[in-house]
Amino acid sequence: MNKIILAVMCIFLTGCSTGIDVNEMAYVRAAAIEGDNVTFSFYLEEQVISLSADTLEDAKSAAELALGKEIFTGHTELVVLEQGAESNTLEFVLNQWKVPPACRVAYAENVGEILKKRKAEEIVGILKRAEEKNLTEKCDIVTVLGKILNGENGDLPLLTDEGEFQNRQ
Amino acid sequence: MSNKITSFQLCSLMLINDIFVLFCLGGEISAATAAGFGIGSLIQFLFAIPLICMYKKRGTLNECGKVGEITLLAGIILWGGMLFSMLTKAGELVFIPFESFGKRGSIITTILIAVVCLYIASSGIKAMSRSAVIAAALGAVCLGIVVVSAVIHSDAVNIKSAEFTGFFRELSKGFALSGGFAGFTVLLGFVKDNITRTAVGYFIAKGIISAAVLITGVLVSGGIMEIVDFPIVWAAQLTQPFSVQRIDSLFLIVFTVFAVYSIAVQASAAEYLIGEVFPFIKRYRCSIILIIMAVIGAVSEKWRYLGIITAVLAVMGLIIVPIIYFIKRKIRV
Amino acid sequence: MKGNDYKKQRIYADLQQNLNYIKKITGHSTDILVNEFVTGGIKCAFLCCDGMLSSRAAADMVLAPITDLPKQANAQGLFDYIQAHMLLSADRSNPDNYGDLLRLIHSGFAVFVAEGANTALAFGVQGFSTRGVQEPSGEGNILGSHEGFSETIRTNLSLIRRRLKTPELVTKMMTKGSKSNTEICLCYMKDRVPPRLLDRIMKSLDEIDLETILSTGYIRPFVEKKSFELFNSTGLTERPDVVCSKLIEGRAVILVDGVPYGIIIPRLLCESFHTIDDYAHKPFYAVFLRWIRYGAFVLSFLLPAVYTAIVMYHPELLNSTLLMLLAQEEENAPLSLLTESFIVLIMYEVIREAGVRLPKPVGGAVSIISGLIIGDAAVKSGLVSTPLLTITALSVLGGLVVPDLNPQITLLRFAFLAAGGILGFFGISVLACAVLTNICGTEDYGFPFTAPISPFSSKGMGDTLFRMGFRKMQNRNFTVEEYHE
Repeated sequence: MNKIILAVMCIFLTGCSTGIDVNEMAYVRAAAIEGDNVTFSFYLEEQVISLSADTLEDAKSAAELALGKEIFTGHTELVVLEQGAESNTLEFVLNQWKVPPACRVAYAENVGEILKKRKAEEIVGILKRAEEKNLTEKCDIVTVLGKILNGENGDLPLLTDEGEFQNRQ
Repeated sequence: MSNKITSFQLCSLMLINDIFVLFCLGGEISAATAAGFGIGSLIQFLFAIPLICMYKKRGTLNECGKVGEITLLAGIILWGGMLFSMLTKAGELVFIPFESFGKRGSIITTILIAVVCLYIASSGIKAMSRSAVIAAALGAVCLGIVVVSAVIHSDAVNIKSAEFTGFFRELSKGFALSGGFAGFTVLLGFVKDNITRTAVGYFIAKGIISAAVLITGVLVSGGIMEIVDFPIVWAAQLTQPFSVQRIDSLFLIVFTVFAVYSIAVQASAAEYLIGEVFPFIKRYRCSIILIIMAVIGAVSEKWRYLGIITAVLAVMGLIIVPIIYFIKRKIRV
Repeated sequence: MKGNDYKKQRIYADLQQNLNYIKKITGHSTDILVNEFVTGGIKCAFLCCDGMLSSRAAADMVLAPITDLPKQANAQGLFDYIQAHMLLSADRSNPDNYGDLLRLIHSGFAVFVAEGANTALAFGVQGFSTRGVQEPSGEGNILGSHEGFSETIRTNLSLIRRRLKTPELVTKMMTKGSKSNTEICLCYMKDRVPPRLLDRIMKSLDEIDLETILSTGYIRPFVEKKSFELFNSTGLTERPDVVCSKLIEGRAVILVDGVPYGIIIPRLLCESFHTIDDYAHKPFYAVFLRWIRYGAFVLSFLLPAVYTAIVMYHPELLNSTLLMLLAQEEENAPLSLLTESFIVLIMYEVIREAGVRLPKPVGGAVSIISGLIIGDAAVKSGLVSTPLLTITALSVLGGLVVPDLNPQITLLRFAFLAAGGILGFFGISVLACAVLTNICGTEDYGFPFTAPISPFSSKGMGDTLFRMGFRKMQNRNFTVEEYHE
């Protein structure tokens, strides 16, 4: 039995390299996706990174290279898409990026510039207020994806160039 | 069978196995799945009646001859292999910090789980069953939180959204995932309380819990059922008191604990049977069993019908064993 | 002479030969006093161990009466006269071999030998210095008794007798340790204790073949199972009131001379969370305190591991504001969180050990060093982050709520930290399964350690998860036999 315990301890040690310290990661706050172009904004890092890549995974890798840190998408609060974007983008974001279920989704007229012009936390605040005032339907990623998969074209909130909420009503 | 366990302990051991199987349930589910599994439990209870009668008459597996025991042993080992395979597949979704290691990572995960299962199974059935009760109680609390949270966060529309694939198909799916019956057949003989009450209690609990978990899964992830691989896992991940975080990792705890006990209980039952069927193997029984199970788990993807074979063996063991016993009894009389 | 050859040797009838032999065995030890005198016309000698007996009691109760006896025919007649007509001490003995004779002398008895007698007379007039009954150092309480055991076994027995004035309380004295001849006493209530438990304890005690018994730690391995168990299946207590409550429940207690602790057999895990104060407070408050203890126990070994696992592997569990705060705090830390955690915990163990071992006058220096230098300076210099220090402090405080389980908590804390820091929640879960199985497998004398939680007993919940009122408890007639499997 002691030998088994020793073996387990040695196996444990093989996992030593998998943990990343909390300060060695960059935490994505918002992502804006327009075709091949992806823009990330972060919680702590001031810079907003825009890049082009074939796939979202490649875009994330390229952003990690640009930033010099591992990127963590588990706290993403906002995903901005171009109007008419397909559901597989949101599927990828939910499945692979493991964003929280409360992550909001919105359309924008100028996806590439929105995060550079307006802070992500302000946009999220705007969307929250819009939901509370019933100016838009619930736009969390799970609800939106559910509607899209059921063939309903959700009336996602639309953001202007300046990141303002556009009331469609 | 000198080591005696209580009915509560047996039910905990078996229910942990059943709920773990639900966690690893892939593909789309619907309200029909919940109904299928629920009613399936009733039908499975009917299959178990001869076994209950056998144990009530103080019959033992020994008296049923090697055929029954070997059938059960094969069923248990194959089912254990399937559990390893389910663990690896569902584990890719539930974060285990070896995902960057690829194949090597899943081997390390399997070895770690196997070592802990070896320790638990070697500690004896009493230690395992007592600890399973505590694990099951904690799991029940977590499931309760998930279910209550699901009721609050769910959308009744999702029940309609989930595709209805037919009641009998769901019923057969439930049977296909009943490999745990081989272990149940063995462990029922260890129960010191009323056998009938134990079996009835277990099947009723199984039916209710399976239905509740599946309905919760449908209510929560019914809308996105097309894109989810493991709907129950998804339901647990999305149904949480705090919507701004993901609590996958807390679910990982329940998932891992249930995986460990599910495999350990099969290993323990198989160890007992190996002692009966191959008494010349005196040492390392548990280690041999776990290695075989792990290997089967690793290669199970290549065996398309492994699940069906396992389920058939388990149900056969459930039925054959008491039949052989009653035939032999009649001949003796 | 070799080792223990003298022990079985019968006492010599010739007085001089007798005294010479005793001096030879004891190596002419200066604390063995030999005084020859004549009484009743027979040459006698009075033997004692200097410092072990009360000189005054010996002089008044024994020496004065015994030196003025009527003439006797022979030594046996003298001894018979003394035994029949003189009640010199309540504790008397008649050793006939040198093993018993020397054991009695070393235990503080006054021993008489006479010319022509191959037995001796021993009278208990012990008067060695003892610590006296004081407040227990470890098991503090507010509303209960403040008396604790001392090093003298007979004083400890009297503390128990005062609380259980019943003939059902049985004490069985025995001697263990070939060199130390330590007195140990097995106490039990004869109408409550399961006979099988008693037999097995006696059998376990018979296996003890040590030279010395200097603490309970010498005895416990013999009365516990041989296989590796994280938690002890026997308990220790410094309190006579706790001993009495356990005796009433049908348990056995072993007292050891020279040790102010009693060993309780069997012990259950849930009892580590019970205090005497629970039965002095109202039930609702007692329940609240018990749950605080349960929570503190779990926090004490899981908190550092969970914190490390969340921060390193599962940051999605944290609120984003908290996460960013931690990220900023950890920015300056030069070492990985896992290494930091280990270092802080080891530092705590060093400080704790120093606090225990340090002489009292210098004890204050430990607080200053640990608080100011390590705590404050380490954080300011960035060696250790504040959240980690807070987590460690909370974990340590949680462990102090259940001091009985401190060794186990320390081990589990490090083990879970390693598991969590290397494998995240997966590692913690896997280790938890193994630890839980080990705890549930702990069973001695047929009593499962995790009873009444598992195997579940609804009756037992009344004094485990809750604390039912005394009006209900008085009808319970609980004995530990209920949990026997």
